[in-house]
Amino acid sequence: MPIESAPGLLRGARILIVEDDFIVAQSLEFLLSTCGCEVVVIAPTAADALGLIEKRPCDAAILDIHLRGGSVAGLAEVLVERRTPFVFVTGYADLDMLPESLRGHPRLDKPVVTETLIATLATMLGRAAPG
Amino acid sequence: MARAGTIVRWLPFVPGLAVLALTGVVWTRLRLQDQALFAGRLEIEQITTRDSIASAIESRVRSLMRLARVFEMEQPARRTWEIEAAMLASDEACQAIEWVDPSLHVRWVVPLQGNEAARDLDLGFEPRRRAALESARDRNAVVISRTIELVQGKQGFFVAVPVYDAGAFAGVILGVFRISDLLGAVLAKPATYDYAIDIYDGADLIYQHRPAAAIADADWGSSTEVDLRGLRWRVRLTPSRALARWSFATSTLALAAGALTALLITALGRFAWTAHVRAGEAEAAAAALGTEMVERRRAEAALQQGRDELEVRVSDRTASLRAANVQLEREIEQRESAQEALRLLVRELDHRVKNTLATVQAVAQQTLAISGSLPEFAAAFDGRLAALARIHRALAEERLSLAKLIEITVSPYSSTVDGLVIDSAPVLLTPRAVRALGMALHELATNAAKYGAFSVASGRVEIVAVALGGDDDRRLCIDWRESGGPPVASPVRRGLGSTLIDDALRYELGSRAVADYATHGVHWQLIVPMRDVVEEAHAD
Repeated sequence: MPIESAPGLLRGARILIVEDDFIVAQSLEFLLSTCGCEVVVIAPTAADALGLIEKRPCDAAILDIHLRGGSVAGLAEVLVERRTPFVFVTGYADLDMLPESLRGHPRLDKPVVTETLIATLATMLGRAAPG
Repeated sequence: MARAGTIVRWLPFVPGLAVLALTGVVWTRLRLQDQALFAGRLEIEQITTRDSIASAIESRVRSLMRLARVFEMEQPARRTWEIEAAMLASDEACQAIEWVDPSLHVRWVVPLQGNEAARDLDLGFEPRRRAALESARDRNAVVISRTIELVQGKQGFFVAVPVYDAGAFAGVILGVFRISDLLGAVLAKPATYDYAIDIYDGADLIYQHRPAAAIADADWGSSTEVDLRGLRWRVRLTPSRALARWSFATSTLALAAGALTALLITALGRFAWTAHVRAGEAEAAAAALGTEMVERRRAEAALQQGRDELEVRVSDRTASLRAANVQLEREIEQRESAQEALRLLVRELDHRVKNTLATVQAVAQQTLAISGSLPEFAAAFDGRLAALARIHRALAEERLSLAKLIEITVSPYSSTVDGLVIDSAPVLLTPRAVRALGMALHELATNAAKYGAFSVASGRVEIVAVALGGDDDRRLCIDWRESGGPPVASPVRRGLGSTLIDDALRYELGSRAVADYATHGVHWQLIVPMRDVVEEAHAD
């Protein structure tokens, strides 16, 4: 199975996934769990995500830009304040809906290539990418 | 034409010239008349003067002749004679009355006083006296001497009357007169105020009278002679300048008046002519101006009309251009908004495709995770993709009602027509609800097909959807009841289906899903908040 080929690069990491599509969110959660992440939490909205990180901070985050119930920008700024690294995942070709200050952050297009996502997260967490 | 014009132009001068000519003629006549009058006046004055002189001297001559007759007849005593002579000598112009003896010596003198120098004077000492006395003696006639310098002083003359006693020359009675006194008395008349009088004895000027006024040129003067018993005096009269001038006043005035009249008439004629010409010109100018004004007004009217037409045309053209512009802008706007819509649509499509691919990817990964074998994975994956495809197709075609969604997702798994009963409230779903509920219904249907009511021919699934609660708490309650299927055992392993039904609905719609694994058939109850599901409360 391809998923199991991913080594324990993300072992012990706490990852937040903000994605309103349950299937996609759950798929990512499953994927990252198999990669050794200690805790993976998923949230359908920015408000839910804020509630979650208030309870327990995370090491890194994956943010879908286009969420139901509002923009992800406010959450992203909170994460910037907390020095929590994050990567945008979007189906959109451009970043028009994001403020200028947030456009420098890493961005991955849907559908996400699993290895790329893992490598990006590993880089953000300061862990050496494989190979 | 030019010739006629020249003549016409000179026409105003004709009356003036005529008057001037007439004046010339009249003046000439008057001048002649004045000259004649003047000459007559001068002559009268000359005659008067001459006669005055002649009569003054003649009266004295007669007195002396009387004295001489007395002397001849009576041989008077000296005393007697002196008395007679003294009467004559009382004349203011008389210097002396004398008896001169035949030897031409003065013997008797009256008055003696002032004439002492003349007593016993030999009158033959001087040619003029001698000539006069000898002429009187010889001719026995009264003789008046030429002008002499009197021994008593002053200029004078004497009248010599010879005395004969019985044919013998007895001497001469002599009257000596001072010229200036004699003539001064004779000529002292008002008429002499206007004339200068010069009296000559031969070449000698013996008397001169000057009036108070200035004297005219010598040309104006005239001379005549006075005959004094053979002695000739020339009397010359020269009028004063004022007299000479005024004598010709009539003609001069006539000339001046005529010239003035001519001038006035000429000026008047000229003025009238000019006025006439000006009037003509003014009339012509007025006529021209009138014509010009009419033409200008006409031209202005035409111009104004042209302007109005142009303005109308311009405003028409502007209006149509504006309308065209508005139309064009509208079209551009429409096109732009159409392009914008298309761009948004393409973007949305891109987004959806990518999200869908992400979903497919996720479905695949999850299906793979729970599949025991590759055929099992293939079947489950196919079924899920087919369900997704149906949902998307339905979404693309119309706003989906709950009943329609149930039919699309569940009916493919029903083995018989009677096996599925749907009783749904008229509810339209949002796309998100369509997908979440659609996938949940798909999982319920596939589970029923594998293990439940749809796995046997007698099985039956009844789905009832109703709206519950008040305005704040409206929710959709969907009951999924299976019956007629094989006996139900509580599932040992919770499959993907259960996960999707429970977690996915909560995750995406905030709903609850409760399962009751009763032996006679599974019962699921899905409770979904209405606000997250419903697009419209009423539908067909």
